[in-house]
Amino acid sequence: MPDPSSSPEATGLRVASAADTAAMSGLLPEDPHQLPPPSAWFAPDAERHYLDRPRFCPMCASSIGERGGITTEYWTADTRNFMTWCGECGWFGEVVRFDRVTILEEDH
Amino acid sequence: MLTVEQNNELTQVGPGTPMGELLRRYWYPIAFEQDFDSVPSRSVRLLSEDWTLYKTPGGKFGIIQEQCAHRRASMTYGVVHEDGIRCGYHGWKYDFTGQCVEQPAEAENQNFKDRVKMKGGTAQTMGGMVWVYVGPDPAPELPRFDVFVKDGVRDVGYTTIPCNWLQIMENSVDPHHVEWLHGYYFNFVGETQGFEAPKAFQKRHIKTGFDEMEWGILKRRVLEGSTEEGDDWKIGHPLVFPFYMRVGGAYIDQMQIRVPIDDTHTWKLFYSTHNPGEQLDVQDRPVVYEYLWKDDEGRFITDYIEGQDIMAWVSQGPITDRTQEHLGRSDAGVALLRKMFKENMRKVANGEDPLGTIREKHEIINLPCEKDKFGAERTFAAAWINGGSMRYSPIKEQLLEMHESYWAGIEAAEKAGAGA
Repeated sequence: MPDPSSSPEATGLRVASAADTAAMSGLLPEDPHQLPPPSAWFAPDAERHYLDRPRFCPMCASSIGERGGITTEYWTADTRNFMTWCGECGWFGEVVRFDRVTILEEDH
Repeated sequence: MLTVEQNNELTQVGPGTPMGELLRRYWYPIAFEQDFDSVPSRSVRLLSEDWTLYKTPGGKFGIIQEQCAHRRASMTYGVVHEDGIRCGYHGWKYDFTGQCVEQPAEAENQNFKDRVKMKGGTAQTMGGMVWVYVGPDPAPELPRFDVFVKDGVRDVGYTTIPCNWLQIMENSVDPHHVEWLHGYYFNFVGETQGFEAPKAFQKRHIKTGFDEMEWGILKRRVLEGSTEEGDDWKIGHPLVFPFYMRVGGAYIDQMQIRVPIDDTHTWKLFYSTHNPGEQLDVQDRPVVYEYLWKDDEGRFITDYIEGQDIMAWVSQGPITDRTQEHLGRSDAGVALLRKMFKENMRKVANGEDPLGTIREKHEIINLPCEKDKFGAERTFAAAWINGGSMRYSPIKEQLLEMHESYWAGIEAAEKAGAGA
């Protein structure tokens, strides 16, 4: 167990940043370095990606964005796969969002 | 889909940027030895900085930032000495580290020169190319990858491409583009222009795989008609982090080199070593030539493999806008590569050596690479030479003859064996 008196920085646990908190509330950033201009053809997709991507590591709960990690999204039909690497603990895997649980049967 | 900030971080290579700091931990080929046959120094651009690369009368190479620290004249027009280079404007002299050691117009008894140090680097030759390291000391060893040091006939095609180096690297972890760009599209171009496109590139991908390994990412594929026992899966070939791809097949070993000149330009080389059988004729220097990728009307030349690649890279724009991309499952390798860059930026920020740093002396680094490419065997060498950038090689006919002669010898031996 981490020492509760330790700072978040020292324990590796993270307090949600303003950007993470805003995104959790469905708010888009005003920072022009985050999103393409609203006039861009795929701006709505970029906004959904920004809001829906995992913001915290499934393993250590650190902020992906604030701790140097990266999430890259790719699609498989309706399923959205977020290949995620945590810059804090090095966890590397996929977080998957779907609307329907689908089982693909192997050939049999 | 990346944010604007993430795209900038992954594509900006200048000093002080996270990617720039990572990339400064590696050696880059930046010129050929023959470039210095007629001049002792040349201007080169690397990682968004301008440099003077020079060769002393004794044959040692040095690299220093191009603008003199005094009044900013170009050091490329300086005087080269055995122990450094002197600016032609007022004679300030710098040693190989960039330290100013002489200021002829200043008084001898003051330490002004000791306070002036230009950016410098380290330079070496290997495989007929001049390699430089411009990162922090101590410089790692120059990695002696097999293609550059093994015996064989060496042939190097080069050009400068007006796009960011990362979009070329992402192509290296995108196996599916081969069956489309170099298969389906190549076939379409052939039908349109009246030639037969090589069949080896038209096979459908059944399975692709990516393994992180000590030099980068090992890429594997199973093509239609093949199995996991085929070389393309069993051995595969690597993206060599952070700016090469090693490919090969049919006794051609090739390193594809993407030198980041700046954010929007890449020096793209295809360094090939041909070594069929024992009939090797090792040159003192590789044959070097520029390959073409635009025609007289300014259209991309897409009737050969690398021309098709360049069309795909350059037409994305000088820097791909990844805020507008839509990746699919077949792009998982691209996502893996971005993770690898981020991971190694982090290592550098923490003061660690990034992936692929080698500090031990060594003779050769053998990289895994399939021999029987796409199951094409004998036909592959000719398809590659005729259908790739090697078609611009001044020794193209000799290369074709060398490979064909080898395979004819194999065939004759097999016939003789069957008849015995």
